[in-house]
Amino acid sequence: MDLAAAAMSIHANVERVIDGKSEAIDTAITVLLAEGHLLIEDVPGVGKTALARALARSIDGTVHRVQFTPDLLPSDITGVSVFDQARAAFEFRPGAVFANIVIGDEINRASPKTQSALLEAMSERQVSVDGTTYPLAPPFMVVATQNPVEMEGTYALPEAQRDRFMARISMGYPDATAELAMIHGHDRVEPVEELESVVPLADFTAMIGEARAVHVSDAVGRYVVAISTATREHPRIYLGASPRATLQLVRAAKARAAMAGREFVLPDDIDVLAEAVLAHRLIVDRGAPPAATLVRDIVATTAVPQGS
Amino acid sequence: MRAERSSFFGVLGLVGVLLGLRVVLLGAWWWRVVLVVAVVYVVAAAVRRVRPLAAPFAAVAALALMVVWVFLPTTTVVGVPTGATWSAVGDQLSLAIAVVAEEQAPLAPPEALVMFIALGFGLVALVVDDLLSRPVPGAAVGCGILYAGGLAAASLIVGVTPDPLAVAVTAAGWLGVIVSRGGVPTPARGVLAAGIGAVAVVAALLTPSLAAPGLEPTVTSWGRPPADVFGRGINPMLRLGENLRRGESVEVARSITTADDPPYLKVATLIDVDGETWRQVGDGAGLPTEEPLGDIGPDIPTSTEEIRVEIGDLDTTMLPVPYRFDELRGLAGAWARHPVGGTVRSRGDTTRDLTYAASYVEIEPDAEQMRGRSTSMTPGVFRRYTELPAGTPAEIGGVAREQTAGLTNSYDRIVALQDWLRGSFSYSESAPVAEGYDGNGLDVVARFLTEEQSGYCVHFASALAAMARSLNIPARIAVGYAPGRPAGRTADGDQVYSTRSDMLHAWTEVWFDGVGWVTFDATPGVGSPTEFDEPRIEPGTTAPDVNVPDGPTAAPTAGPDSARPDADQTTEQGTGRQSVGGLGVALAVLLGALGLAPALVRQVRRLMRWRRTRVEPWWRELTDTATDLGISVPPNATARGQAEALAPAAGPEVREVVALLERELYAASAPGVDEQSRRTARSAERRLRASCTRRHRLAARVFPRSLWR
Repeated sequence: MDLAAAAMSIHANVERVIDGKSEAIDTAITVLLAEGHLLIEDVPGVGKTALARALARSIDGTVHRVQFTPDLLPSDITGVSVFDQARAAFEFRPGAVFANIVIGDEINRASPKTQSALLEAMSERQVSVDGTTYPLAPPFMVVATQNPVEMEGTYALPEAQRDRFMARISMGYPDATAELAMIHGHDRVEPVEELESVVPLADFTAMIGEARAVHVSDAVGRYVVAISTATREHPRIYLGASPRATLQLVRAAKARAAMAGREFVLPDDIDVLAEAVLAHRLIVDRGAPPAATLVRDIVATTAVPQGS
Repeated sequence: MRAERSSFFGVLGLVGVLLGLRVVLLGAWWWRVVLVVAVVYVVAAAVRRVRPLAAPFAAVAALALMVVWVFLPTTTVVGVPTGATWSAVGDQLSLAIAVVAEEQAPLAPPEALVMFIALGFGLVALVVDDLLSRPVPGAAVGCGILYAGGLAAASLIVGVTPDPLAVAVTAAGWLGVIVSRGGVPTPARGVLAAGIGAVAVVAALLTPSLAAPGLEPTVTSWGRPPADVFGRGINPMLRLGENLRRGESVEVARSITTADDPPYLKVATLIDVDGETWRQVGDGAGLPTEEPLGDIGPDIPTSTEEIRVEIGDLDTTMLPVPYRFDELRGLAGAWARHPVGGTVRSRGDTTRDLTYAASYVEIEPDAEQMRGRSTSMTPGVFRRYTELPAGTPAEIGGVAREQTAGLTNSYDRIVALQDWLRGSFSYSESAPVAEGYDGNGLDVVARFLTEEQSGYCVHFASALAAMARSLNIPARIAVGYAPGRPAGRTADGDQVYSTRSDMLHAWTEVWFDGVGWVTFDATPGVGSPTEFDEPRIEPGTTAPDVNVPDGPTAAPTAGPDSARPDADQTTEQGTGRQSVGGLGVALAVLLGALGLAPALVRQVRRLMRWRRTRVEPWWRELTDTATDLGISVPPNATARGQAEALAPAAGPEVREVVALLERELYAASAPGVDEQSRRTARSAERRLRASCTRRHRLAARVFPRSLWR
């Protein structure tokens, strides 16, 4: 099964659970394929967790869910070494982070120390406990959710931490038809449990390698840089896109190109992903339009490279 | 860099328009205006490199200083303008306004007018430069309209062909603007450069040659006669050329007439010719006295017109009068009608500040009547009027016969000779002197006819008269003033005409039995040629005065009382229409050349692109074609986005083309294009065109919007 077909079957599989959120599903698969992490900012109960679980089941991966609370400890995330008296040795008990997909619900409710334990694992793709390093098996994706409404007693993610998420999406409410369908579907059995794997985990790991190999032409590179530069020079944006953001945009675009069956990135890939990849990293001036709007404007006004 | 170039061309085009003004404003005034414009442009361009925003301000300052330095240097203290400068500007302004209000074009502009022209052109140059240095949409089009309007206006004022140099410079400037703004791909530049050259040259060459038949240059400066212009008994012909070459002109007479067009005003008649010159006859001279209306046959329709003439700045004993007048009323002093030629002279009084009124007769035969007339006279008189001295160059008769071959009557022959001289020769006051054939002797006439083909009224009048005589047709020369020009005001509802000293003129009179002396004017651009209408009723019928088809007036000889300025009505029928037609052709060619330039540029670009072996230029061509056709193509969209905009019109082929394009632009390696892909792209182009109405397609060809994207 080639990459494009596999991506499509994953998409179709997830869509059986989550109706009418095709774009969010696409972005989620793209991020998974690009080895990034996903931040979902949305109100409770719109299917954030379901999306993550469906993804995990589709690729036959493991999934752990952590509900972040103020009293959650870093070791709950990473794991602890416990002394085994029978063998007279320390034994490592892996924490929640040891899974292919880790769902961090309401990540902003945990203490900064716990947050940073997770974030370190995200960027290093390994965990060090008591001097021993435990690598995390690929694919590895953290799907963190934030609740934008109820903000009391939370520790909002600092901008530097948000930068570690490849993309931010918001699911939004389903439309009336989709919601009605949910009622009937959820009445009988939890649909996620019905899902079957469509791509073996090993195959998916190979797909990640393929996506990395997608060609990025000079022209497209310049286009990405132009967009990043524009966010830095925009009069109403206080903090623009970091170089890491530029890199992640390119990686996401490669994954998207691969999913479309192309071996090269198009400016169109950049256009489609720019908002999801860049918006959550920007700080806009007080009174300015939302970052997402500004990013859309920038993309619309940046000249697309044609010709060499 | 591109902006720099485009504003350079913009200002160059403006200089072309400025040169075009030389037909209205005579003399060497223009180089100072060009200097001011050039300095303004250079300052603006230089400052723009350092501080773009300051460029217009610097240019305004440069303009003000240049105008002061060039035109009002004496009002400054070491180059610094003072209060005196300011008041001098005010004085100059009122002077310039007076000139514009009162003077008639063409004129040699006074200093004040040149100064304001410099100021005006400086300001326009500044705006053009500023607009073209920035990506203002439509700026190039605006320039084109400005140029065409400027050139056309200058030509329309005086009704002449635009100066070819001006047209060429303007066209080059405008094409430069288009090309430098359009961003033509590099390989196309060579072809385009050739295209620009071709259009400029074609415009420069075609305009005058197409316009020539109907458009005689009317810009003539006949110079100012000295007080005793026609002397007392001195041969006026010899003085005429000298007078014509003098600089300024003054108003010698004003007239109000009931005729549609003002008459020629005649002062002298030259009859006898020897090898050197034509001479007036002395008082008796053996010729019969001419009665004003005595020679007009009863079948020839006539009309009677009234004229009132006020003589101004003219001191002479020879009074300018219309031909075939019956009496002069209100004339002070002792004046007498000359027995021959219908002119009036005094024995001592001069013409300064005289006023008179007169009625005069215009003859209005039709062409058929004229063809039926013989040119016979009393034998002795006939000899006087057809005599050419021994030693007359044979070329004169040879040329005359050559030009009238196949014509069977005198009238047609004379008209043919007149039209040949008007159509094929050029007017020049200086060429005869420079080439050493000035004068009106028959040797000079022969040389004028066969070699130089360039001269002024004396040459044309002598040549026609000499050729007529060589064909045994009685002819003589009249000297006087060409018909007045509208003075721009009316008196009691009648147009006031102004006659200036530089309108001094010579023409030819030819005898027809039963009609009298008929005026023929062979000088290009002056007065109007004589050509009677073809009969509308039966030939030979006497038509009533009022309805008579117009004919130029011809004046019978005989009585001292005939008055007949020719040309009145001919003007409307013949020359008038002809000049309007000629002017129309000239303007059409000019506007056509300018108007077709974008189409040419666009077409060259299109062909260059399809010749390439890459998809990218093809794609540009497709999107440009769509833009031309009025299909909007999102400019900042990706190729795919643009393809979606085109797909409804261009069909699924565009998607194939885009797929090829993407591979070429963004993939690690592209397979290269083959004929198949070119066919696909071209079929998309065809579909695009086919999806639009014929009108849109035409608009796309003639006015390709993509050039101004």
